[in-house]
Amino acid sequence: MLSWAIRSLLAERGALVASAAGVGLALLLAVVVEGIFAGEAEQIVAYPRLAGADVWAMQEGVANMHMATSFVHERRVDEVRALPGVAAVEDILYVNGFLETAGDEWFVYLVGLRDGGSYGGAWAAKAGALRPGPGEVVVPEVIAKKSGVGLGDRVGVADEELTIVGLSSGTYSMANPVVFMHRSDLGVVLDAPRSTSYLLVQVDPGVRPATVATAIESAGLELAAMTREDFVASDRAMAMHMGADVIALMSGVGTTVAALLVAFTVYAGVIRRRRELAVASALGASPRSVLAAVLAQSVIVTALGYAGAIGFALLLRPLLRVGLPEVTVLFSARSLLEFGGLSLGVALLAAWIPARRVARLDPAEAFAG
Amino acid sequence: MLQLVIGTLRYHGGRTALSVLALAAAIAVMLLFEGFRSGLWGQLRAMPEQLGADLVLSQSGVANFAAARSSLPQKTRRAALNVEGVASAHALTSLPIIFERHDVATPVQVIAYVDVGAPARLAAGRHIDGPREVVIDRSIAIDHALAVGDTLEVLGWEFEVVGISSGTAAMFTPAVFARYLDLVELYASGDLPDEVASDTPLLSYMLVRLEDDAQPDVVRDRLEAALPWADAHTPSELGQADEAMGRRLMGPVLGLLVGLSYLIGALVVGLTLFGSVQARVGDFAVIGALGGDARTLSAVVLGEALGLTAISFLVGLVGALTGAAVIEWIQPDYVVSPLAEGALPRTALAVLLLGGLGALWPLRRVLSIDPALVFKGASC
Repeated sequence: MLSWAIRSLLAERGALVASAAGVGLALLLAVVVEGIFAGEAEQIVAYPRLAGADVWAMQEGVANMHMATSFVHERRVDEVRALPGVAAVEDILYVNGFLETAGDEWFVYLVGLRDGGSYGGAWAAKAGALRPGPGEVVVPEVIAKKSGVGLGDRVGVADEELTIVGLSSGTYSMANPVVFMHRSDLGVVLDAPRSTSYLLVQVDPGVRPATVATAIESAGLELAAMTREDFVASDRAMAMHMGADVIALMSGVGTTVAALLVAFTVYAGVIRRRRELAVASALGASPRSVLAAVLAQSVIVTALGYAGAIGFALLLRPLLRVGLPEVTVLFSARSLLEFGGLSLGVALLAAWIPARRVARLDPAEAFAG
Repeated sequence: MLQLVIGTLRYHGGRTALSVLALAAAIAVMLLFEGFRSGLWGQLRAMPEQLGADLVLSQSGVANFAAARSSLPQKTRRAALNVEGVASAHALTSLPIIFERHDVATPVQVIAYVDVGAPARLAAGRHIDGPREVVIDRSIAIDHALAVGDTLEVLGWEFEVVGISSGTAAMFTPAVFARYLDLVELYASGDLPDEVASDTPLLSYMLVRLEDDAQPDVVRDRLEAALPWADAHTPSELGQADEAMGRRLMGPVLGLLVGLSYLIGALVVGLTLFGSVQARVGDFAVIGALGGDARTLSAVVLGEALGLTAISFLVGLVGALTGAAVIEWIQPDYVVSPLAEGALPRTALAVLLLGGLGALWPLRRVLSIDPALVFKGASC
């Protein structure tokens, strides 16, 4: 019966292609939207994730970068550095602000860096320097490309004019592109010359970051401290409000509609072959065989559509990277497998309902047409 | 012809219903994705446009209301009042904070105002009338289960919720409206949390109302000349600047998502209509065998496709509007406007184009069938 099911499908190649394409297109929409959501959800916390800190220390009561301001006296840097288990401390000044580039205004994270630090700045450069000096700025390559500015061009932050000395990679997200400047320049903008915002702590080898975070909070320095993982999770939860959960909603809509379309396509395919299946039943095929054949056909159609959707989605990713660099798309094996499981489940359910009816048809009805 | 089309669609009721549902789902997703985008832009525009001022003064170089940090010196009001054509000037401070209640944290914008700057639309309750009162955006009320009469803690002080506003969330941040005097008292009391006090401008914007016969452009020039530390904008300009900022940040992602929904949705429509016609090639061949020429057959096929599309469009529209209402209920921070900014004609055009193509594609096969074979029951 299985070979009959396959031959029956192949006999109507046009219908097979149309059904598989219908399933594939519906899944393609869901997979790509989910990929964009996953990409943005990762990129939105790129800085706390990749800045190089094992532990983040900040003003008491603060647990985020997004929508938060943290100010602590800069003497805390040395005090934290002296705590057991602490290998290194870099401190940054930080505020949300606007970057003016050739007539465009970009909402950005402004991060002020000290001279000579080894981490806390951009982690990958497309061109130029990773860390700016006084009067200099490192901007995301995406902003530079979109605004038509490059190394040596002047951009504005508040009333300060700064020269671009570096184009960073991986520092752009739709909610919070990260711009690096010298802390003396940001200190002027913030009018906070003796303050710092966050302490980026690296721990000694073999020491658990959570232990150091607890030690910082217990040291009577009026500081909050979180491991990188906790800080990233906390910041992600807040930053998701900044647009990423719109994409999450769109992803939900896309997945729901995809599931509906998969169900319609498979259901319609079974209905179209109803007479043929009834004839098979009349010729002696058991109801179980008929049911198995229908389900097998549905699995084949869905698998073909799924494979096509994944193939196109993977093909689309490098194209988007070139054509639309401000959009980050991330396909995880887990989410792709989840989509496979979902589409298969929906397809089997959609096929099961009409297949049971066909399997119970009186054989006489088949020949009566 | 119309009778034939309607009769055929009704005769194949089950198949028609399935096709309508598939087409409607594709149409609904296009409209909903458009609605997400339009809703976001609309929210960004709406917030500064409802401030109730003729002109808004901001720190020099600041041209936005959403997500902007503007700080004006205290002399601004007196200087503004000295400018010819200015009837009144009202202080407004915009302060981003993280509001936390029962372990749910929400980024909110505290807007402290004097007389002018109250929310334009109230969903419940009244405007602020006395000390320690606030009006909160509807999404805060829903997310934190707050109602008129409840108290909440903002910046360490207890406030009573006296009103719930709508259309007062922008850049994904809902607003809490408070009295400017309360903010000043809070600041002076020393109770303002350090993390806020260290970065709080006491005056962010100045809302200016003009004398009846004053020309806004003329007064704007006078204000900018007399107050070199400030820029003057109309509320509409601030709204447009906020929308432009939103478009710059989120436009590419949302544009891609909307574009994909059109591309894939229209292809699904085309494919569904292709499948619908393909499944009934035999029926159409019978019409051909009974004397229907190519023109008649084309009209029947297109008529059916158009009928299906029209019904599906209505069902899809209802689906999109229902979906939008459900989404706004689940996520009250967002406005989803499936009918805004020409979404309806754009979707209709995409559906008609791909749908027509999908329906006409199998027509070649219908026209090529020998009428004699139809009545012999040959495979069609």
